[in-house]
Amino acid sequence: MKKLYEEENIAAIAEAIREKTGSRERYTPAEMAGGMDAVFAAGEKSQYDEFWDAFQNAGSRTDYENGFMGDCWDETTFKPKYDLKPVSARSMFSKFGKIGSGVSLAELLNRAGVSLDTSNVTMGRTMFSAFHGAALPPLVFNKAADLNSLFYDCLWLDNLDITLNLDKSANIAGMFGTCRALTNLTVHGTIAGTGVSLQWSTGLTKASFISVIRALSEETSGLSITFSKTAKEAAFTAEEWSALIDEKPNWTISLV
Amino acid sequence: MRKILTAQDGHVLTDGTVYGKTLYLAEGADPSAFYEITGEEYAAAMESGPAEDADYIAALERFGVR
Repeated sequence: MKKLYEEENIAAIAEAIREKTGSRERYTPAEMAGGMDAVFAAGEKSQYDEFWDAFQNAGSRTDYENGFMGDCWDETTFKPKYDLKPVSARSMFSKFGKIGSGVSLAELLNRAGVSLDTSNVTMGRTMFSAFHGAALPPLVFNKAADLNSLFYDCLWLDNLDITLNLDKSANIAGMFGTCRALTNLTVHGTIAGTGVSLQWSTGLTKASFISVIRALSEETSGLSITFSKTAKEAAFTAEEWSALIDEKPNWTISLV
Repeated sequence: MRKILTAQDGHVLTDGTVYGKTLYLAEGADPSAFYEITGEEYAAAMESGPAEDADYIAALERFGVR
């Protein structure tokens, strides 16, 4: 029977595998089928690197305006290669994730092996507006001038840990607009702007109320904050409530 | 001591900026600045948000997710 291959053909296949995978492994004919898996994985990695190197500008991207807007971004597509360090973050994660999926952005970041650092965000208006997931990582804002509607319409968001070290001129109005599922809110730093309303968060816990009220600036005047009357009455006795809000006599506290 | 204002049933108090059925006024705040509006007027006032933000709407349309 005529031989269908020569030694040099086998060597060529092995060399082609090594070229695609970037390895220097020796392959026996019996191992070459497995080498195909390595070629496929190398192709996937190459495609991944090409996309994310371009999308994140090899890690130097800071303008992420609308960067991950839309439900096309979810656990199958959101796999950043580099840490996310936005400065311009308007609508960055607006409508991110499939509705009802309960996706956790913190978990996705962890799976990708990257972090989200919001401490240098200056424009964060609607950054997470209508985020379709249920959980976000702890967020720190030190430089933002505009966080208007930051979590507006985050209908499934139930827990949030946020640090605000902002100038009192920062726009934080509407930050928690329609956050109906929000029950656990921890605020570090200081709330020094007006227009913050948690009136939609009817299940807000006592600890959350305490955290928010204790974060209210003691150095401002003429500012107000709004809470759900339902949540307040479920959490506090009249005496407890009076004692708590008396810690911040410079604030008008509104219940809806 | 804080002044506490309470709206009639079905109404909401406002000074044009802050809204509430019960208001625990800051020390020194002027209660006469507040007036009652109807529930319907309050609902209309609450419709603002990113829906009013032209740039936000334009971005949603551009990305086909509005």
